[in-house]
Amino acid sequence: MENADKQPVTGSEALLKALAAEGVDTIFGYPGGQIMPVYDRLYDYADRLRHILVRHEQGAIHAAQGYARVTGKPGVVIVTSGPGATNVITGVADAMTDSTPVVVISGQVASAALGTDAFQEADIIGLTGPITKWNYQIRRAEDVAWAVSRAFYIASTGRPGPVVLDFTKDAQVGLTDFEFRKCSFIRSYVPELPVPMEEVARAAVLIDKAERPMVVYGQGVILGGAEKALADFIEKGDIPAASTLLGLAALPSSSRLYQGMIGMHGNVAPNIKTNECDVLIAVGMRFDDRVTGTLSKYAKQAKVIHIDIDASEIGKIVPVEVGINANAAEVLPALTSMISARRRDAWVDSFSECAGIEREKVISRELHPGEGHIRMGEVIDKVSEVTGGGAVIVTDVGQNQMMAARYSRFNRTRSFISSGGLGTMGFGLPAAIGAKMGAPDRQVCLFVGDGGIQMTIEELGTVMQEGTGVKVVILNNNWLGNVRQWQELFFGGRYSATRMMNPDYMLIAKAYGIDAEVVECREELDGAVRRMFADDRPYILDVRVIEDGNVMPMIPPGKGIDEIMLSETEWYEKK
Amino acid sequence: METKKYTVVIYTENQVGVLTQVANVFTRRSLNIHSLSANASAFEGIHTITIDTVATPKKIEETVKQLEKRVDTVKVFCYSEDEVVYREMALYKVSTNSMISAGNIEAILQVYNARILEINSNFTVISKVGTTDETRRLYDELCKCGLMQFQRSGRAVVSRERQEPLMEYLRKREEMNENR
Repeated sequence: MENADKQPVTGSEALLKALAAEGVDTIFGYPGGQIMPVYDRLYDYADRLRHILVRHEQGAIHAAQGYARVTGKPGVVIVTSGPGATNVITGVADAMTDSTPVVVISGQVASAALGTDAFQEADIIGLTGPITKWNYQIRRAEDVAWAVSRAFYIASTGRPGPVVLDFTKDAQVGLTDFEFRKCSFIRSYVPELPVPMEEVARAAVLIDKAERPMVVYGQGVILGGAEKALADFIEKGDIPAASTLLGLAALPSSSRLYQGMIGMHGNVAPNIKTNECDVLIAVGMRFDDRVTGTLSKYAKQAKVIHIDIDASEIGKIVPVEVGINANAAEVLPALTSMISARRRDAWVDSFSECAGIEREKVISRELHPGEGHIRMGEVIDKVSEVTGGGAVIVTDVGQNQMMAARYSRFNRTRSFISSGGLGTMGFGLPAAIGAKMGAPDRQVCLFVGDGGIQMTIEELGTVMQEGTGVKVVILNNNWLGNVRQWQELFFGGRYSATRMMNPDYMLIAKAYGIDAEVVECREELDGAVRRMFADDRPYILDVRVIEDGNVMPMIPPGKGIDEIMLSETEWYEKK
Repeated sequence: METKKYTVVIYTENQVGVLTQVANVFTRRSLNIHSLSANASAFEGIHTITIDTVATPKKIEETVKQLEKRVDTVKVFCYSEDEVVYREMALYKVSTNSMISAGNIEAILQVYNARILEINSNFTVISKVGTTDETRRLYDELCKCGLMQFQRSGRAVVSRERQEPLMEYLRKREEMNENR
């Protein structure tokens, strides 16, 4: 009915109408001078568009990312010009690296003042060009509907990513007839190609001939909605599968063929087996250096089949035997129908041998240390136990992130939200807020270090104001733990600038009116976690974990993925 | 891996900022842009950016894919030197006096197939259309006869392919749009 309204509207109103037409229900933002006309109109849209007032624009973009990751819909951010817009840049870069659909609308000075160094003017189009999928400066009210529909189409199709719309003040107040047409075609933009059946057939032949095939999958499976297709594919071929960091939860942790996570702190079996398999099937992942270790030693024996929606990823890092440039959700069913059903028992069983060593040498020490300080893994494990694997797990960056990735259990997709490619500390708390807004019926639990929480701790104000029921678990070790670990292992124990003094988080929680408790010993952990999840209110747990805990196993930098440290003094012995 | 000279022809939508984005794809990968020209193409609303650069085959392939990935990029073609016919245009400003005293200017112009565009008592402007080597050789020659200023354009390029590749591509895209 929006189109029937023929009264001219301002550019600001056109923006809100267009957002509503795109199905937006939540906006993360922060007002300021050059976006005030939009905020003024927003006042009348409060019943349709819920605006979440963050405490810093970086919080808005990370919250929008969390929202997008949990819902699959683009997250929306509105900020003012200049510093408002530059404050979102880290998150925009993060969304670009992690293929997260977000649409950022930034205010801009009036078009007549562009380029004059006007108050709060910054060249946002220039600044965000390399870190956006698309950006556009709206300088006329009549372009608003067009630009918004294009932005949503681009952000959410193909390989998703961030779009920035820079909205000049004169365009915000100018009048236009509002006519909304949903964008579904752009001449210069091909979001995905049809499945190349010949390549799929070639892949199927390779897989059928393979004795030791293995799947490594990434977030492309989740973004494409290919979870079921992946499960069907590996089941038919009896093919073990392992996830990247961002692919976690695409398959339930309990799946028979699921072998854990690959990469620097991934599981021993899939890392070792990557260098033993004969055909490596990569699905919706991009061979990040944290996944491959030293490239010259990565999967050299394997024929690689790479399925990715982004043509530029195929062959970028790892040479491929077969490249399939299409959506995994369409490729996998075709591939499944072409491969033969067969069992590969010996190969599948061989994973459990490596897994057994990891369980004995790493996991049991981390989860069942018996005495001493609480270990990070125990906390993660306890949360998984109490939530039954159904919670959305959000992490910050560092040891908390790797531990959460290693020890969380998942029973549904879109349950793991983390800054993968960019590794943005401070991501966690605002992302958790956004995730909770996007999935209000789910438990959302953040694992964050004492370093990362202090980078965006101001967003506790947002939690307070909105009553957002996020569960914040601070894995508090008084160190910047991940850097400390590297200093211990690779820099001769020279702990440069990693010792961290912490505030009293109970006082902070109290100041924000958030329930909180400190957990200092193992006996307190179970009760505290259960109290935290007893209702849907926000909660902070300050867990005092072992100060010098290290994330193991670890593939040190410069090593191949089968050169794995099991502890500070012990290496995995290859058969 | 050995490096080679490539001419990359990028067709883009006529949007503000596209040139910067295209240039960024090169600079981010430490590829030096040897020459660049940007113009309206023969197709309405579509601009051409022609860049020549030196890269390894792997690097140039990666760069082309990254260029194609940009939303406002319509299509990218990459050619090695033997796959294109190209010309650059160069202008030379020489002191009229020095040129006259050099004596052999007519012969030079004839050998290099260059023309005089303007002549006055102070300076003479000479133009030459040719390959990078040819315009460079004339530059060396004119340095001996009082060269005051020199400027060279980017490349104008046509491929040796039989068909205009962009036309074919645009036709397919239109078809795709209609068949949706």
